[in-house]
Amino acid sequence: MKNLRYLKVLTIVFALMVSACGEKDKKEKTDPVTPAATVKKAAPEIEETAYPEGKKLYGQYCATCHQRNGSGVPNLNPPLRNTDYVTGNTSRLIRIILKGSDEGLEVDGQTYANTMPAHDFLDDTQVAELLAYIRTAFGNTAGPVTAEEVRTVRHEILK
Amino acid sequence: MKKQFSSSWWYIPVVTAFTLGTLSCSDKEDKKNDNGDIIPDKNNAALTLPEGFGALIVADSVGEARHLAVNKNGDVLVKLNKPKDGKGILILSDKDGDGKAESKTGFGNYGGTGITLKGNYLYASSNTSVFRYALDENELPENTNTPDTIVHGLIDRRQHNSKSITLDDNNNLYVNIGAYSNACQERDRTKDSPGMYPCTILDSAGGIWKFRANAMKQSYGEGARYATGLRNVVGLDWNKEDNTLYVMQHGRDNLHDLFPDLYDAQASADLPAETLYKIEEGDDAGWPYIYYDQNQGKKILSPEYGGDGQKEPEEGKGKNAIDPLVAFPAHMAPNGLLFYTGSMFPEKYKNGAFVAFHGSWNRAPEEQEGFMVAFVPFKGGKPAGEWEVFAKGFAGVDPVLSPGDAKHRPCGLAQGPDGSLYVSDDAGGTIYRIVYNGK
Repeated sequence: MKNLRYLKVLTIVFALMVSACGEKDKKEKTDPVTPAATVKKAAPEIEETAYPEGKKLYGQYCATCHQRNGSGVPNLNPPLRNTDYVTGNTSRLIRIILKGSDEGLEVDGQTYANTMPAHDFLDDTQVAELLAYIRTAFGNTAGPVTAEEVRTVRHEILK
Repeated sequence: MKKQFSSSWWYIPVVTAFTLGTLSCSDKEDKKNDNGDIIPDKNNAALTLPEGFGALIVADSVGEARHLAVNKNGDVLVKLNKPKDGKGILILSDKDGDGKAESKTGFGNYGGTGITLKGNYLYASSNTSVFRYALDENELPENTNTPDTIVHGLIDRRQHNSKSITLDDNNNLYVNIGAYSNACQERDRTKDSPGMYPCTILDSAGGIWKFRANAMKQSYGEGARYATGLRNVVGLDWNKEDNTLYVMQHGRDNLHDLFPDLYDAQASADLPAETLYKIEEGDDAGWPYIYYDQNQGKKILSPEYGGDGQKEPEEGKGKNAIDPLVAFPAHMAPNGLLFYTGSMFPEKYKNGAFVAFHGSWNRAPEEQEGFMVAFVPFKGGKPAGEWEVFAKGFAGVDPVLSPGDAKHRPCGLAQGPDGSLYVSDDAGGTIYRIVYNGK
């Protein structure tokens, strides 16, 4: 038994050492020279960090209603994950952010009771950052939104 | 290596087998015991209850079960938020006396929340109307296709549209008409949008309206505003002990989102209180001009109306608002209220109030709270002690970070003829029955 316990401890220590070595290896070898490896290393954190400003804005203006994980609230606030409203047409999405929505839009067969307030106090870059975050967070894999697009829609609304 | 593996992983099949064994046991043997008592499920339907209480699942996955009523034979009538297979009201019947519903029928192709039995009638509400069905000798509705329309044309703008109902003993029907707004801003929930003054929403919503229970096709013109300044009431009950209406108000949201300089995220998660009011005719609970701060123990002027988190109500802005009897933590969403008049539960529960909390959604970044049934002891029409958690464990996850994660959310409460307490759940569609078998 004693031997077995030794073996266990040894194995764990060994495993930790090997993985630590691996990390060190990777860092030293690949970071400065191979862009591909750098991207790979950052991969698990893409959702967290690719659009940090957008994430911050989300936490400040969106998370209360749409929830940190984008799930929304049944019957009250629509989800932001896995829905065409978020991952589809960007003009429609920008319009909802800037103008809000009080029409009881049907999202995947469900309607939601609460009002979406207008967020026209955010500037074009902020809206773009925020939407880029939402479109790549919560398992979404849509492309980013540019400040240019936001400006165009804002002008259309003001017309 | 091999040996080490097997020595530390042996428990997985054992635990799995044990868990499976427990689960399969819990579904069986719910017959009555020798005393004729209903036997709870082995795991008390996964609820945590006070000593001596047990729970069983009457029915599962019935749909979005809002409020419910139980007739003299123990048939459970459930109002669904949305009709399921064209049926907005379900009748769940236990044919063999084990407490489980074997039969499920339904009628009424409309969604809604309110349902209650009174005299020879069943009353049920959509989000605009109240209907009445005559009962047969088994207290089941007989004219299910042609109900009487008692009230119609009430405002429904999606937000806070549940028309909860209760009746007194003098043929009066009380209907909640929730405010289609958070705080009566010109633009709802929009930063920097001012509060409307006066709040015109109060003309047709944000209060309790009173109608005759036996007159047809009434609307605003035929009814009367019984109480105002109530943002949204889903749980309400007529207390037979003091012949008075009691309501649970859902407090306002988004203090931090709208006023980040006055309220940090923590303050917004903790404020304002969810409040239990005793309502006399003509009462004003103060929404939208004030909210109740349970930490300061007083009414506070809303920031939309010049408040700063400290200022007290002003003339014309909630100065004459009533005080709550009980202030619960914020955002827990009280959807059911029931004064217990049965004899099954111990003496302490007699005439006390049960409150079903649906569970919060706007406490981020804090964990969500609620998802439980609370109890407030009453004596002589007044709370006789602190409120306490009575039944918990509905959510099935702990902590609940987002309400969508909760497997079950308490919504309605009803008392059975034997004094059992029934709880409906509009997330998982479970109907629970809580019994007392302690001696």
